[in-house]
Parts: sequence; structure tokens; C-alpha cells
Amino acid sequence: MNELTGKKTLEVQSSITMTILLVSFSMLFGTLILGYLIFRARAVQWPPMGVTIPGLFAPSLSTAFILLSSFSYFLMESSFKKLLEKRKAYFFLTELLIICFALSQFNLWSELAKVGINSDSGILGSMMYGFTWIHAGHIVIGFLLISSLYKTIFSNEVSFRGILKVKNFGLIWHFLGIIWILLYLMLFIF
Amino acid sequence: MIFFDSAHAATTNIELPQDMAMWDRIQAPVDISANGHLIMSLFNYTTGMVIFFFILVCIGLFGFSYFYSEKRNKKAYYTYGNKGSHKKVGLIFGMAVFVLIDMAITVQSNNDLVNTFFNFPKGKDVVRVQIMAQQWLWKFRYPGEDNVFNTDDDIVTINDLRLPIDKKVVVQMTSKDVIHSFYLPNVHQKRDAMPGRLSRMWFELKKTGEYDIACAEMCGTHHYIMKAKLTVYTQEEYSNWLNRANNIALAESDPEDLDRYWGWKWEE
Amino acid sequence: MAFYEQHIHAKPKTFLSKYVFSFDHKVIGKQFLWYGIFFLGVGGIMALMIRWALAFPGVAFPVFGSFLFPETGGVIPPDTYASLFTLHGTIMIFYAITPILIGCFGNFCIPLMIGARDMAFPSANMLSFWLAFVSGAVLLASLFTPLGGAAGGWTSYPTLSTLIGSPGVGQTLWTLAIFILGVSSTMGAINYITTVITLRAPGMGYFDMPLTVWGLWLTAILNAIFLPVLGAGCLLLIFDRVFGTHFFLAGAAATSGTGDPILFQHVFWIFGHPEVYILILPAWGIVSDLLSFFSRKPAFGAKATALSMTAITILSTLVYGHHMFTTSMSPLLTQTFMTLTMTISIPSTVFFFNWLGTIWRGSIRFHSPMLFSLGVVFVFGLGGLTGLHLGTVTTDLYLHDTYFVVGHFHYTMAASVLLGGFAGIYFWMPKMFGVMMNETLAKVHFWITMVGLNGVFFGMLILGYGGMHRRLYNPFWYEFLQKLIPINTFVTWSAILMGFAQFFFLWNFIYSLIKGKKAKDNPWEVGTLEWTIPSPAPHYNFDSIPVVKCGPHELGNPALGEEKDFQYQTEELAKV
Repeated sequence: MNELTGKKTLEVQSSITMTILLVSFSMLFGTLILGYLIFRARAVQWPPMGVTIPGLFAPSLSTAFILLSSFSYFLMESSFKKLLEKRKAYFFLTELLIICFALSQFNLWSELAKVGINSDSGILGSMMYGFTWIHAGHIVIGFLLISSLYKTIFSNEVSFRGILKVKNFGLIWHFLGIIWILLYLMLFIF
Repeated sequence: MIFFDSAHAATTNIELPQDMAMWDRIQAPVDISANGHLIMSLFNYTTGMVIFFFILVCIGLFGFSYFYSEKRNKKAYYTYGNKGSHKKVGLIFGMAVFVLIDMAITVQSNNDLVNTFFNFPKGKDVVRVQIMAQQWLWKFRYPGEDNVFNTDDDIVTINDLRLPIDKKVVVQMTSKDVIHSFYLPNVHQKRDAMPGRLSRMWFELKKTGEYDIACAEMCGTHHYIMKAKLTVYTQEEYSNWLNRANNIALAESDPEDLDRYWGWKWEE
Repeated sequence: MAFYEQHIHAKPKTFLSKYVFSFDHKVIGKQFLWYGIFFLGVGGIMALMIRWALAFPGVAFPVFGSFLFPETGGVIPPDTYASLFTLHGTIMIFYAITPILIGCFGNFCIPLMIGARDMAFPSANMLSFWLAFVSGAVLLASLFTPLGGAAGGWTSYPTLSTLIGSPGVGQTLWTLAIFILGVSSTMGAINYITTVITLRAPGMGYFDMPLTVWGLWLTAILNAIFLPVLGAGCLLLIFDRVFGTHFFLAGAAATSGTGDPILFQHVFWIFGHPEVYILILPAWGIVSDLLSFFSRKPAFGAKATALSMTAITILSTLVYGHHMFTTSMSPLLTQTFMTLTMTISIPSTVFFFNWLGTIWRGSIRFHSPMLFSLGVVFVFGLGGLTGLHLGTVTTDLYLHDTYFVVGHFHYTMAASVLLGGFAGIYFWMPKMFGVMMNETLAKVHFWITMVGLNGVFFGMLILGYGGMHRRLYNPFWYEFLQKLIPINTFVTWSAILMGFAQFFFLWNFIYSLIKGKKAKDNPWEVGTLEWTIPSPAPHYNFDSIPVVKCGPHELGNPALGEEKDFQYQTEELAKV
């Protein structure tokens, strides 16, 4: 079979699948955002009475780590395509930054608990924990996917499938970053 | 019917309407409301149209199956069904259904909603009742002489709703625990009673008597026995009852009994 | 469209790789079939138990009543009854219809009908089945928890489905099972969509695909978009139950709850309405094809049918509020949903008309797949039309949560899909298993099922009009329902008859698998691609990927000679 048409079809398949997957994820997080908007719009007072949102340091730390991890991933991808040696370093950096993000999430949760916001503390607590947990679940999946790229990144050749895989897992990761920014803005800034 | 009834006799002592004709059996509950006929006449119109079009479908289905079986028609007519004439017939069919049924009933229903069912009566002559649904009973609250809810002279009943004929009645309801649905079979309406929200319904009764109230939303183990009684009085009987109940309420009401004060400020 | 030929894998050797952990879409399709038939049986028995309690309250359930309910002497208790109708709905929708119509026919038919060797992602396909298996196990496990299985209705409205109304872990496991199944189906949906778009054989444009594939493809699109919404709802409900969150808790019993139970209803029905179209679209597609095949003429207005199904797919996303007319939503919203719901009539009428146009002036062969397809036309016509009563707000204020709704959705969902599913099984039996089913038994199965089914569901329409509301353990309790009790009993006997009829199918199916008449390659004399290969289909599907030269319904062309009245999709269109 023609090598060229095979590649083209794989590319098309890859785009279609990623599009549908991201649409699916968007619908999931979209439902959460819809819930947030409704609760927010109908609340007499926001934040609800008696609830103080903790300082911005903890969630901003998470934001910083996830943005950096996306950037690091982007650097890894570009150096992978050119088979530069630093792709390996960027791989480890990305993994490290993801772990830092996870740690910063745990930190955020403990900061929330410190100001008395628990999962059973009314609707704001519900959303803060509920939404970040669901996001965290997807981060875990993302982390496993990126980890599985080890062989691809460290191999000594750039395969067509390899490029597609790195691109697609990157899309998922950047998407999760965007979702985090939305959650960050919704729950902690506005 | 004997075979059907023997099992029933083994289980309950209720008197069954043994000799009702089938046509009477399948009728909707007797309509005691002023506006129920709007619902039922629309239902009948829709049913009439549905029967008409379904008969057309059956004529096609059974007719074509008969006349165009392999035995009777050896050669099928080769067409993609995309000729102008085919599309025209399809369009006429589609538009007929849409206009005669869909548009007709939407417009009618919309009018009924705007003019009647969502057009809540206001003013002094309206009977107002608050309903608290809970697992598994109905609590009713009348405002009493002071016309304010949640005061000492409120009449509070359990599973016992009494109303006069020829007066507009507005009920406002909520639930203490799970979602219930306040269903008056003889008024042909129901509304959900939801925790954390107020919902409302209005109607006007035209016939005296005793009728069932049921819960029409799954609410737990005893959903099936969440029954209340609607007693419809003449206006004179109603005022008499109201006075008696008022006096009893004043005598019995205990400000310390917090459970009794489940009412809320009426929202117009 | 660039075309990619998947290469032929070596034939799997071990028992495990052949039948258990197979990547072959045909095997996975069959796995979904066994799974679906098993749960269809479980759901069916539950239905019979429900009907027994409704017609004969206080009477012990026959055969295994006293074994299941020793404390009550075999009588079904109210709590169990609530679990029964909850699980009947859940099982039939998610564990019977979805696996059989979407899991089995989707998996088996799509690659074969579009001329591909397998799905785009065979490993994801296998994972999808095993996730569904885990989900089924979790659901069954939920029945054996101390407080019993879920009992809040398949719609699981809070606050009944929160700890307030359902304290047991059974409800949590139910919600978890649905979530896992949602993940499984979403994976499957992504697989189907990508496969249909990118793996069609050369020459097969979208309108050269059989309508079965259209139905399955549109279903997959709806699944991929809306299952995540249900997933989110399930997760939030699980959080409410396990972590004390307040998404859906409100009202006095919910201490500090400031959530909103109605939010769940919105989320649920945003998924729930497309879901009912998800369930029916494959059957619509199958029937559209089969009516053409057995009338020996092209599907009437095939392109219009495909476009109507697409229009309905799109419109179905806009109408979910008609499930919530009694929740005192704003009048404007209520009226808008009513008007939007009505628009679905137009495309529905178009393809219904096309169905009749297909059999018009045909040369109809009444084999069992055709009988079942004609049955679908009948029951869907009736069921669909009763939707009008429910889509109209004022009549719905009376009919909501009555047996009229139950009759309506059973006609459109249960009857149509069941008959469509049986049509598919009888039709594709030769391709799946290389044997034909016995026609006489099939016809007996059809007629008795039709009689029983109409008795049950038409009876329910009558009960609903008479005012009988839903989810009642004992209708004898109400005065206004007394007169309807003989009708309830009639419905139960019809249900028992319908259940009995399925034994003809089971016997036929099992006997044919073991000793059935060996099938020809193309017993139905039809031109879609799966009939160009041997029966049963070989593991690699096609020797060489076919090149498509004409449409899927090329039957009865007068330019064809005497020997056959149809053309394979690989043949040039015969011209006079």
C-alpha cells in the first residue's frame, strides 16, 4: 500500500479522533462549568456567607506549574522532531513539573482545609474539591500517557507515528492546562 | 373477568367496580375542574389526528404488504424515490402532519398556558394553600383569618385538603426531603414539589365530593401509599369548616412546637 | 479521501486470543451480543416481576418467589419493587439495548459494510468491551449490598438518589457502574466515528454507505458528545454521596445544602434526550436497509432518509426540557422546549414516508427479518405519534409520570429496538455464525411477540390516560385506580405471553448455533459489502479491499439480466 496515502490517512484519523476526544472532554468539563455558572448566578452572595477564599498563592502555584509543564512539553516536542539531545532533558523536566503540579494540588487542598473549606462545606467547597478532583483524575491519565512516551522520545529515530503520538498527547495535556486556567479563574479569581 | 378477579379477592378487601363497561373503565378520572376540559379536548384532538395518520400508515403498511408481496408483484418498481413527484408527495405529507397536528396543538397549548394555566389568579378572592410534601405524607397549611402564613391561626392538616367550589385556588408547594409530585387526578394536573424550591399550581373546582390526591414522583419505599384526600365543599360548607378549623387551630397551636411552623412567606 | 488498507493480521491461535481477549471487531461484536442477551434476560425477568406485583399484589411470585423473599412468603416487598423498576430500566437501556444494537451490530457491521478489515482502533475496541464487562459486574454486585440495589428509578433524581433518600452503597455502585459504562461507550463511539470517516473503501461516498452505518455513525456522534455530560452528573452525584458535597442537596433535610436537585435533572436530560435517539438510530438504519432488501427495490429517498436522521440527531440536542414540564421552569423556557420538540416531527415524517415508499410497488419477501422490520414500522408509528401528546405542555401536565409515558417510550424504545434488534440478528446470523435460523420458529416468535407487545404497551397507554401514575407498588390503594385493575391484569398476561415468546427465539438461536443449516455466502441476495465474502466472515474480512462502484440498495434494476435482480456494491451500475 502506498506509503504516502497511509501517512495521510493516519494523520486524518489522528485529527478526527483527537477532535472528538477533546469535544468529549469539553462536554464533561462544560457540564461542570454550567453548574458553576448557575450556582454563581443564583447565589445571593458570592462567596457564600461565612466562606473566605484562601490566599491566591496556592492555586497560582498550581497554575504556574501546569503552564510551565505545557511549555516544557512544547520544547520537548520541538527538540524531538529535530532529534536534538535535549529532548531527553525536557522529557524529564515535563514529568517533574507535572509532579510539582500534583504536589501543589495537595498543597492547595490542605490550604483550603486550613481555612475551613472542606468538601462538605456547602456549594463553594463542593465545587472547589469536586472540580479539581475531576481535573486531577484527568491529569493522572495525562501523566501516564506522557510517561508512556519514554520509548518514543528516547529512541534514536523520529518515526511518523511517534510524531503523531507526541503531538496528540501534547494536545490532551495543553487542553488540561486550559481547563485548569478556567477553573483557576472561576473558583479563585472571580 | 372472573379469572382476573380471583387473585385480587385473595389480596384485598376493597370493593372492585365489577360491572363497569370497558368504555367507562378506560375514561380519565372525572373532571371536576373548570379548566381541565382544555387539556382533555386538546388530548382528544391530538388523538383524533394521531388515529387518522396512523390509519394512513396502516393502510400503507398492510395494503402494500398485501398487494406487493412477491407472489402478487413479481417485478419491483425500480426507483430511488428522489424524483420531483416523490418529493412533492413526501413534502405534502410532512407539511400536513406538521400543520394539522404539531402547529395546531402547539398554538392551542401555548394559548392555554398563557391565558389559563400559567396565568395565576391574584387578589382577595383566591384561596391560598401551602403544601409541604415529605416522605410519605402531605401537609397542608391554610393562612387562617389573618391571611398570613406561618402564624398561630394557621390551619394545618395532614393528608386532608378541603376546598370550596367556584373559587380559584392557588397552591404553593415545596418538599422537606426528596422530590414529590402533587397530583390531582380529577383536576388533570400535577406539579413537582422539590426541596429547596417553591412551585405552584392553580385550579378551580366545580363539583363537590371526595377525591384522591396522589404523589406522582418516585419518592421512596412508601411512594405508593402517599395518598391524601381532597374534599370539595360548597362555599357554605367550606366557610363552616374553615371557621371550626380556625377555632381548633387557635386552641391547639403551640408556639413552642417548631414542627408546626413549616410554612413560609407566600410569594405572589 | 486518502485510503488506507489495514494489513491482514495473522489468525489468532490460542483460545484466549481468539475468544476472550480478541482484537477482532467481529469477535468483540459477538461478545457484546452474549453480554446483551444475558442482561436482556435479567431485565425481562425483572419486568415480569414488576408486572406480577402490579396485577397480583400480595400473591407470592411463582417458581422462585419464596426462595428470593423468604420473609414475606414469596411476595415481592416494596423496597425490592423499587429496585426492580430501577434496575429494569437501567439494564434494558444500558446493558441490553446498548450492547446489542451499538456494541454488537456497530462492531460487527460497520467495518464489513464499509469495506474495512477492522475498526480504526482495535485495542481501544477490546478495552471498551472489558470496561463494559466490569461495569456489568459492578452493577450486579450492587444487588448484593446490605441495603440492596439502587431504588431511585433509572433516572436517579436527587435528592432521592443522594444519601437522604438512598442511604445504601448500592446506589453508589449503580452510579459508578453507569460512569464506567459511559467511558466504555465513549471509547467505542470515538472508534466508530473515526472508522466511518477514514476507513471507507475506495468509491464509497457517505451516501453510498448502507443506512445501517448511517444510523450507527450518528448514534456514535451523539454518544461521544453527550455521554460525558452524564459522566459529569454521575461523578457529582458520587461526590455528594461519598464526600459530602452539596451539588444536588437542598431543602430542610439537607442540613446546610445549597445545591440544586433540579441541576441534576437538567444535566441528566441534556444527556437523556439524545440517549433515546442513540438507542433508536441503529434500529432506524437497520430497518431502512432491510425494507429495501426484502422489497427488492432501492430504499426510497435514501439520501433524504440519511439527512432526516442527521436532522433528528441535531434537533434531539435542543429538546430535553420536555422531560421537565412539571418542574415549574420558567414559562418561556417551557414553551420554547414544546415548540422545538414539535420540529422533530418533520424529519421523522420524512423518513417514515420513505419507509412506506420503499415497500410501495415492491416485490416483498416475507422472511423473518422483513416481518420484524415491518413490525418496527407499526410500533414506531404508534409510539412516535403518542409523543405528540407528551410534547404538548398542557396535556403533559396530566400525562407526566403516568403510564402513558411508559407506554410511549416502550413502544418507541423497547418495541421498536427489540423488533429491530431481532430483525438484525435473524438477518446477520449467516454472516456472524455461518448458519441460518429456522424460519418457522422465527415467524412464530414474531407473531406472538407482536401480540404480546401490543397488549402490554397499548394497555399502558390506556392506563396512563386513565390516570395511573408510575412507580406504584400497589395500585389498589387508590379509589380512582380501582376500575383500571383488570386492565393492569391484562397487561401482565400480555407481558407473560411476550416473555414466553422469547423462548422460541432462544431455542432457535441455540439450536441453530449447534445444528443449524449451513448458510450460503449471500442467502438474502443482497449487494452490500458484507455479502461479498464467505459466511461466516473470515478473520481478515476481505481478500483485497473492495472498490465500490454503486450504492447499497441496487435491487430491481430493469437493466439487470434474468439471473439476479440485485448488484453487489463492487459492480458497475447496470445501464440499459
